[in-house]
Amino acid sequence: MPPMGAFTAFVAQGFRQQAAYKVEGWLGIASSLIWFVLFAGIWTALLRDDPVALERQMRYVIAARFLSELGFLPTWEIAEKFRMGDVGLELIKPVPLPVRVLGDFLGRSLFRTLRSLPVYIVIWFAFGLTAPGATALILFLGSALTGWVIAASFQLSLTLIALWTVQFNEAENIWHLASALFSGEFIPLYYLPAWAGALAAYLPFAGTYFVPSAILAGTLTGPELWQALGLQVIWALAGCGLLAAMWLAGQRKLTMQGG
Amino acid sequence: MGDLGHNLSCYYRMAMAQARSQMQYRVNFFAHLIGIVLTYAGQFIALAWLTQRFTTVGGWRFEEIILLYAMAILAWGFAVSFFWSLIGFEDQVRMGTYDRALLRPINPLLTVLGSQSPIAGLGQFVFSIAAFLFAVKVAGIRLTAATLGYLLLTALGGGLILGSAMLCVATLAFWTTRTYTFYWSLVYPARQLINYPVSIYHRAIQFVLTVLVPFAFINYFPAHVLLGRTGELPIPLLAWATPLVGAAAIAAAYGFWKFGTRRYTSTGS
Repeated sequence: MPPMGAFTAFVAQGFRQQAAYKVEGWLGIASSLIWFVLFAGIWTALLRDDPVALERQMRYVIAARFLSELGFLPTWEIAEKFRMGDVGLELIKPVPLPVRVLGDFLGRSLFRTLRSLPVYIVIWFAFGLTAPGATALILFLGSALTGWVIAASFQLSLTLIALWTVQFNEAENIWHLASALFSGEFIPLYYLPAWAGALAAYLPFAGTYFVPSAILAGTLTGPELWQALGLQVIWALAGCGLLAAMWLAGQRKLTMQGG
Repeated sequence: MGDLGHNLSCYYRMAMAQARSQMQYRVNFFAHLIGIVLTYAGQFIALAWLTQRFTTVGGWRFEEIILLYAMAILAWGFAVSFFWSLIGFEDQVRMGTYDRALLRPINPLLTVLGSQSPIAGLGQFVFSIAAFLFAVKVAGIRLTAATLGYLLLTALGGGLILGSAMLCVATLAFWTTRTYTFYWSLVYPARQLINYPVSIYHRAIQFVLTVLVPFAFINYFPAHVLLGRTGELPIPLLAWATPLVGAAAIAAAYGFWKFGTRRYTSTGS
């Protein structure tokens, strides 16, 4: 099977697998609502006196919460395989581990995203926000998927460090810390201190939340938009390159947990 | 009383054995601590940036919100130390290993609670005390023996409120064989709500956090005592109620647990 065909098959399998868990589905929607209450509460308190900025921010929050569904990357499952020594089996399979894992993650993320989509559409109109234009929607979807590639490829690369060390979560912890500050998941880059906002714009994290959310909020336009999209593509390619290099080098250096 | 003493003594021995076991993996233990500190540090930096830009969140200054954080983390430290094993309880139900707890001559719940290390919340304690001292210094809170005593009682009460939420999650496993999903989908995000003053949310959410899932008692109401702002609450007495609410919550959760245990049927072999 050609690599793209195999990847698609794993996406479909991940999607079906996630769909099988009905209770998780409903709890996931409840969880999305609680997170939305948190973020909406904070920003309403901050921007109460500026209705225009508040409306813009509500669009941003809905987009970012929607992206958090897409950004579900259970790399800990892979780390556990390494810890238990199951990675040996991965080496004899015909499709490389990164292709299978990324396909599975994407399928599961897509299911979570579609499951929560009606909730976010209802919230969008409940807040009286105007519907986004077709161009903004297409750019948002393209940017969201590119952001997913950035997050997935870098995080899986960090998980693969375990090929050398058996157990190593610290690199991922640092990624999550930097992501919490610089991705725009919570605070859009234009509300960060000037130095942090300027720095964050060039880091990979901005592509995972800020760029797509700002597109839907209507705050990223003109040359800035194209520059941000260009940077996103560069970081996505860099992430895929790093992942491929890590997997090739890691197989030669594999440390395995014996039984 | 003799029965209670026997139960607590058994729990103490099991928990200490778990603590010794945990300390065999020192590097892992300290790496975990660093992970916790990094996570909280990230939240603090984000809050600092936010208040640098907007000055206050719903009328609460940076140091006052840090006080809310500190109180919430301190209570969470107690909850993690004594109740964290409940989050993995689904494994015991699914694998049938809960049978072992039923066969022992102590309260089965204590066997479940004793299957984890009681020093698991060390990272939370260290960080919350540092955050608390910072908030005290910057917000100009006058620390007295009475204030500290009340803070400790509040933290215990808050720990019991969180522990009761975890006990309810564990009880649900008797029907659904799931605990992780309930915790990560409902309790974890609900805990994040109280990192900010509850007054910023819609009235319906304030009602939920006060009456149905009384997380507002963990930090929001008692923080008014430390800040000398009890007069701002619609019912000032709420600021003093945390220990009582904690005791009531854990009693209700224990009743639910007793009810749930009747549903337990072992998986067999």
